[in-house]
Amino acid sequence: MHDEEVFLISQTIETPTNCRTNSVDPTMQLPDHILQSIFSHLNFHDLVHVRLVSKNWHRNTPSHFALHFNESLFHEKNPTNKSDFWDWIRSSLDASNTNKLINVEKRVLRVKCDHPGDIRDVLGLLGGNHFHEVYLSFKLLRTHCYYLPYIFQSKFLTLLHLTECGIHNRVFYGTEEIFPSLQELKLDKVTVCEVTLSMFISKCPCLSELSLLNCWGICFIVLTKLDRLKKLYVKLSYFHSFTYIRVIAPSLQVFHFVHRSRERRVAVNMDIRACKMLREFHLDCWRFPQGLDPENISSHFPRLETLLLGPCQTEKPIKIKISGPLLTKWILSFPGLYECSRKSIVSTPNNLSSFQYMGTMFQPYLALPSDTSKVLGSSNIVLIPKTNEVNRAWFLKLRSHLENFSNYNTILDLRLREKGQAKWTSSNTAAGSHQALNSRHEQAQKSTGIFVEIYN
Amino acid sequence: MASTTETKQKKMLILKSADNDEFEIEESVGVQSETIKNLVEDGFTFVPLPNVYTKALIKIIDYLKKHANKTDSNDEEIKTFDKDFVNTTFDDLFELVSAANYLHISCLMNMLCQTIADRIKDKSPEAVRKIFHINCDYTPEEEAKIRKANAQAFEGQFDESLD
Repeated sequence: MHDEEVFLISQTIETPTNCRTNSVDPTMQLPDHILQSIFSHLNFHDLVHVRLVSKNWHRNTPSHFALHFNESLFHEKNPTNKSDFWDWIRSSLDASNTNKLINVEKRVLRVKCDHPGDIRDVLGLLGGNHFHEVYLSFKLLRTHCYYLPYIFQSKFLTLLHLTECGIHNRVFYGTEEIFPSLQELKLDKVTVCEVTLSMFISKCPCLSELSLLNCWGICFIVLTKLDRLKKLYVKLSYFHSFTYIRVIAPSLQVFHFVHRSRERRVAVNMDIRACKMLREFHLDCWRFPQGLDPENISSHFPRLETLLLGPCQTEKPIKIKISGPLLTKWILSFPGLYECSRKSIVSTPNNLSSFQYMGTMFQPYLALPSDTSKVLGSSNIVLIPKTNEVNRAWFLKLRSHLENFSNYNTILDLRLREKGQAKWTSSNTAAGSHQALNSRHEQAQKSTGIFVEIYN
Repeated sequence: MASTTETKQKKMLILKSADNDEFEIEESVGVQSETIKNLVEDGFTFVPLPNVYTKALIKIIDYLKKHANKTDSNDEEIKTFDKDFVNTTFDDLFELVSAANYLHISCLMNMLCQTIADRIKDKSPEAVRKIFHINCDYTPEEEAKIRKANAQAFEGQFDESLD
């Protein structure tokens, strides 16, 4: 380290002139072009509420031209034949509108369609018009999948969302073209094979946010050399048999992995060790992934701030060590499925400000060591009791457990289920004094700070 | 550590902040700023910066020093540094962005704009107004008109927190 202190040669003691009063809007003092460059980082949807802030902000947001095509709305208005919808798009994208399009800073296109025909020429028009943000959604029956003949090229494209369609295996063969400015890619219910996906992603050097939600046909995900990737969301469907995920993205800050498959006993292989900058990690799957060391989550990802752990069952009891210096928020979701004992969770977080637990049973290990109670701002416990009948014994158990938390400022969220009814009831208890919790829930309703609402 | 001969060879600059504090930095560090570079090319070694206050200048000098020593091996370290650098209040971010703008440090500008954008993007217009003490100058009719024009986008949830 060559971090010499900034060398202060002379210091004049004066009343600081830069003490701004708090009531001044700092954005009014900035030159307009700074606001413009801040807003240039936002997408069309984020800009909507930026425009609502003030006239000054509105004036500095990039001008935009948004085209929305919704087939079902179109047919409601024009109950004629199906092809007209595409003709409508063709004519809208045609030369007459091009002048309007060229003069704006952001071009946005949203198409929701039910019956794609041959839209090769429409995709050509999309490319020709240099859209910045494109949302394509094909609402189809599961048996039919519309395969995109190709992905249009646009050198300005920064955001692409594809919903319910397929990307053909041969789409990227024999084409050298890349998506030089694409930053956000979201594939939702898209049928694509692993090779095509990785070819697609390798063509996006600026990708910073990638969402793969319920994509069909993917058994593994390998993402390498993604230096700019900051956010990665992977959600796999119930029917997915997924084997492994490997991510080498040194700038990755947010990673959500959700895999609640029907095969509960199969663990996914996960290699994300290269993602040292990880700040937010949601791991929600039935089995704790292989290749991820539960004891060293904190040391592998030293910058972790938010950690969510789903059921994550393991072969044998494991120890989860949570001690990250920056960890402020820790959520355990349904950890009743953890095969762990009192000593399984070793946690010495320095500045944990939020601890959330969601489960069916009381777990003794949830009473954190007393020294952490001083720093823990608030914890949030959501209990979904397995018992169908909430009786005296159950409440006694709850009370004795909550005594462990009496030093904390805890919010308790009880979700009770009435017998024979699939209706959930929810109650919130905000109290430091759990001693007041009574043994019967009729009484509990009246006691201080506890609100149990039963909806029948 | 730098030897004495090396120190002599190094050209130094003096930067003077708006609150009249003076800082000595190496020329090679300073010229990452286009504004300073232009002055150095014109032969200046004393650079007054009437638009940059000491508090921001200290941070910016830190940034320039870190980035002047960029090699392949400390890439990780710089990323960590950058992340800590922008982890500050909105007031500081705006102070820094206006200083970086004046000094013409484009990589820093870009990073700060991106950070500010990321932090306001999920906030409700009301929360943004509170954070920046902005008076809403829309009439309810005007506001309704804009909301209506963009009705489609009001689907998500806003973040009402003020940090």
